[in-house]
Amino acid sequence: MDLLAVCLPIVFLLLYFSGNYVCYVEGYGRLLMIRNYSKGRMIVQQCFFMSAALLFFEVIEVLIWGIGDQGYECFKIPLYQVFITYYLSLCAAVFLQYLLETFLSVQAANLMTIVYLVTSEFVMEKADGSLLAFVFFPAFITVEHGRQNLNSIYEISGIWLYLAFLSIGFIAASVWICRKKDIY
Amino acid sequence: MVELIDICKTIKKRSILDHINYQFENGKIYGLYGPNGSGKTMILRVLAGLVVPDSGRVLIHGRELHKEISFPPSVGLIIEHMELLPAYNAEENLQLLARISKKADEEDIRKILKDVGLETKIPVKKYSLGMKQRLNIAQAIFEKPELILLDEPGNALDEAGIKTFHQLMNREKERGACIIIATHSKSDLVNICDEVLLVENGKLKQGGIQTGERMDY
Repeated sequence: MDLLAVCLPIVFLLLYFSGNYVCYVEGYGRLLMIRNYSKGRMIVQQCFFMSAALLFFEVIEVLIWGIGDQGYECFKIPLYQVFITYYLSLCAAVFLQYLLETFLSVQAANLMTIVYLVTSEFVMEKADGSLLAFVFFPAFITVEHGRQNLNSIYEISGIWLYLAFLSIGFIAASVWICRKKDIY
Repeated sequence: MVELIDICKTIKKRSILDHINYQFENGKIYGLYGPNGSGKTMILRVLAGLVVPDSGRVLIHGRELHKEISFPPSVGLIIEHMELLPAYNAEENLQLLARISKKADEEDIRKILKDVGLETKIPVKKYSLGMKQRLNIAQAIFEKPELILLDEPGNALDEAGIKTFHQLMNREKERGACIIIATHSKSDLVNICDEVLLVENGKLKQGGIQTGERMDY
């Protein structure tokens, strides 16, 4: 039930952001694309707007969380660490889905990302605190429940760097694939 | 000037474009003519930067496509499965597109809509096929692009529409645009094209109706 409460908003967010790549390479999107001159710039712009939208959604979530029974007391680590880790993990998950859409169908990309998210949560339930967290990075989304054994600020900042570079990597890979792919 | 240098494209082991070489110059209208599946639309897609050729180079004013630039810097395009936003009217659609590259102002939009006969305020979803095609033509040329690529632009147009289309193309030609039209319409080829290129089995051959060469498909 706890897992459901955590994963459900993320599933809806992933659904919200699904199809963003495809909308640029089909139909009306092609008219926008050729006027943008650069596929790379277009993708980076899209990712920038997606991360801004994610920030907005996170603020709403944070406000809603604050008015619950426990409020923010349920978090075992400082609040700012929770929110930054949550935001960076969300960005990485959304950009992963975006990357998958460049070579899979929208539905397959969305489904695979959700399955990966849920699998990560289950795996890290059993292997809490291990380095497997860096493979199953969506588990960092639930860092606020203290599922990850993070006490040191150096640990948390390392995780932020890792998630940030992962997001950049997904964006770079999306740009690379888009440049090579034919658009019909 | 737009150059195709030894362009090849294979899809699922079928050769779609086979060593295409050609130079398209500004201020001319080129017609691509050939049977279905000959590669006409693929040539337009390669020129627009939508398709990456397996080998060869596409040069747009000396700059190589897919290496230096992703798309031609100034291009107007009509290609299959193109849709404008159905909830908006013609003017709103062009305004949204104009915001991206900022090459056209309100006056340009009003003028082109008057030229194509689409000064109506009804949304695009209520348009007939002919009206949609007129709007497609308008969006392809309203920003005064240097390269205009049109795939079957005469589709669904009535006689008056075809005449308007020919007038617009001649006007764009005089402005100095390079216009390439893929078409089955002999009316387009005879009336406005300066050069006609036969596309057959992915190969490009120069040939003109004006020279009397027979092109019946």
